[in-house]
Amino acid sequence: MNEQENDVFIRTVFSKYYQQAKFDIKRIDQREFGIGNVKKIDARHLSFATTEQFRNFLVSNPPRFVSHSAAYYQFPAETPIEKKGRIGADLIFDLDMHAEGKYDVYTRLDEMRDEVARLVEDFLISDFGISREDLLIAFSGNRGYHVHVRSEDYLSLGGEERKEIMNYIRAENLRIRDFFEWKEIGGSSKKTLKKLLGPKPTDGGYRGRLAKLVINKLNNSPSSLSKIFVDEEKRNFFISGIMEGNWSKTSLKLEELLERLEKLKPELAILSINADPAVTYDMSKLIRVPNSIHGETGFVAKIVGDLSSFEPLRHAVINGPPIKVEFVEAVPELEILNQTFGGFSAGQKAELPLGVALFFILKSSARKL
Amino acid sequence: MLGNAENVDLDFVAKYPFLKKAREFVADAEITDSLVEKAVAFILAALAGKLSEKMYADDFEKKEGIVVYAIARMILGAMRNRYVTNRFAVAYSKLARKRINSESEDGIAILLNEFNINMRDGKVSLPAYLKYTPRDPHYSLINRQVSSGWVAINEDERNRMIEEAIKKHLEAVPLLKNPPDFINRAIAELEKQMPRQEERTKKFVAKDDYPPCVTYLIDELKKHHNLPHQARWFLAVYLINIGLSDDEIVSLFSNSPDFSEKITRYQVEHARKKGYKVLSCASLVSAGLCRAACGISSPLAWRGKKR
Repeated sequence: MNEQENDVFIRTVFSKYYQQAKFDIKRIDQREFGIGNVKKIDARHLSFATTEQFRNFLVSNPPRFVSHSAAYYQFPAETPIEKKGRIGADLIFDLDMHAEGKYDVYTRLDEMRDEVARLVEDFLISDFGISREDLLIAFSGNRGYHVHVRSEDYLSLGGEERKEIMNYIRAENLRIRDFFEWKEIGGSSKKTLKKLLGPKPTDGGYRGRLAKLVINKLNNSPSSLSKIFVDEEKRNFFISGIMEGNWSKTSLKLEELLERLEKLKPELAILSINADPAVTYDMSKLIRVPNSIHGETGFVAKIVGDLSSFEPLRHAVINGPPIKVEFVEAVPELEILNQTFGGFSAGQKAELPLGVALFFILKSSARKL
Repeated sequence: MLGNAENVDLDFVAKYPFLKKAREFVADAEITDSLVEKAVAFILAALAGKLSEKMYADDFEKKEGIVVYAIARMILGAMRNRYVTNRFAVAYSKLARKRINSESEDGIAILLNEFNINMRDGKVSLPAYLKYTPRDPHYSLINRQVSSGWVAINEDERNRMIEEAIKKHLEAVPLLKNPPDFINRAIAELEKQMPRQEERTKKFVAKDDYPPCVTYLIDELKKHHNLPHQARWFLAVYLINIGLSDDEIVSLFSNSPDFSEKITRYQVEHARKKGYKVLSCASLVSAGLCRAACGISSPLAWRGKKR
């Protein structure tokens, strides 16, 4: 099959998918759309009045990529951007996994789920007070997740304010040392007694999160903090102090303690959030339409209902009758749709479920027979 | 009820004439030449940094003060000069701050309500906090206790937020199309008496080969936006390091709405004397001043890289 026939096949699969795809685009008539075939965005400034209009467009002329603006506009199709009349913009978080090689990332996608859960539960809901109804979580269709915050309260934030939120979530300039202070609690004229005051689990934000994390570590892997805490009595004594914000109930020195706490930062913050200034500042950016197909993988940028049970390579793969393909390069073993595929070698032929075949074709590792 | 506009009386409106409620007190006011003159003088005083607390003798003067404020807003709306508008906003919000600092709790509640700043039990809603606090380390969210969308702040910080809200309100002056004659005459008068913009900024030679972080700050200044402290410091040190003179740097900063030549000159001279080093790109990223991934490690490397 030649290049052109390959393309027709891909478009047919996409078109068929879009006939029944479920979209959840808030205020679709106020969004700008962008589509791409060669690049992710070849054309933008498109707009659709209704979901049906949008669907008809995708069915009759399916692009490899389709995205919509984080922003809401009075005139989404106007150019240049100043004429669009921005009303506000969703807050969008883009979590990406980095991995070497063409296929490595697809064996590790599950790792991202915990990060997304922490972002949603600890930061967006617990710290920021955003309600669950205003959140939309979607698989990105490739190596990460997008979290859309569609809350009226955050709509009007400017770029700098959005960046501050991003910095907070990434714990930029977090100084754990500042959480602690010595307080005199009496003693004699020769020797004063001091107590190390620090965060307790009921505190807000990073303070509470740090206290909870440390207690959790002490209970589950005490030696990761210090060998001292392998001793149950010492451990429980320290924990009983932290519960009240008193961190002195241990022989561990403050400096040693701080050194170990600093190492916990990746578990406190969400470091996989894309912090590229261009992404965090730019309110005119376009984001993949949830439940559209990602043109590099053929996976659906699936809207996630229950995060804890969501598996991208099971739930975001398009269904359809098996397809025969021939591999043009070697591909490692991968688990998709709860089955193991490969490894395949160049020249090898196989009959694969539609979504799996589509994936290898779009990754340019196989061609349709 | 606290913050209820029904409780707003003439005394209160005279103190804070930007309140929506102010219109009701001056709806039938007659605009005379003398009031227009006072409005022009009011703006000029703000531009010169010489706004001072007014004492009103009676209700008549209070109403007059509100009308003068309203005319000044119309002038700014018709003039559409960013420099004048922003400088007025800074000066006026600073004056208002003095009043806010001695305001009653009821009065504060009315002001918070005016700007939709949600507060309860010493905590402010996160979106309002982000909107009305400056982006400097003291207000950095990371150093705050943030819980369920609320941020704890003290009284002084609350007052600072109201000041910022007033400033933003004044900066966003609605455009006045087809202004009446008396406004056009006032603008002509104002322009005659104002220091000329060319004199303020002519000494700064714009070059096109600054890295994105520097270009952004220069553009912000040219739009007469206030820069946070750390941004000013970085920009000044950078310009010193690439060989600009004190005069050139001061003239650039003269675009700033809160510009004071004396203070700026002192700070630039001080920075030069101390021989401060330009922040590295890594520091700029953590200070939130980085604008693009240029692939260099110091803004000073930009010129070498580009050529």
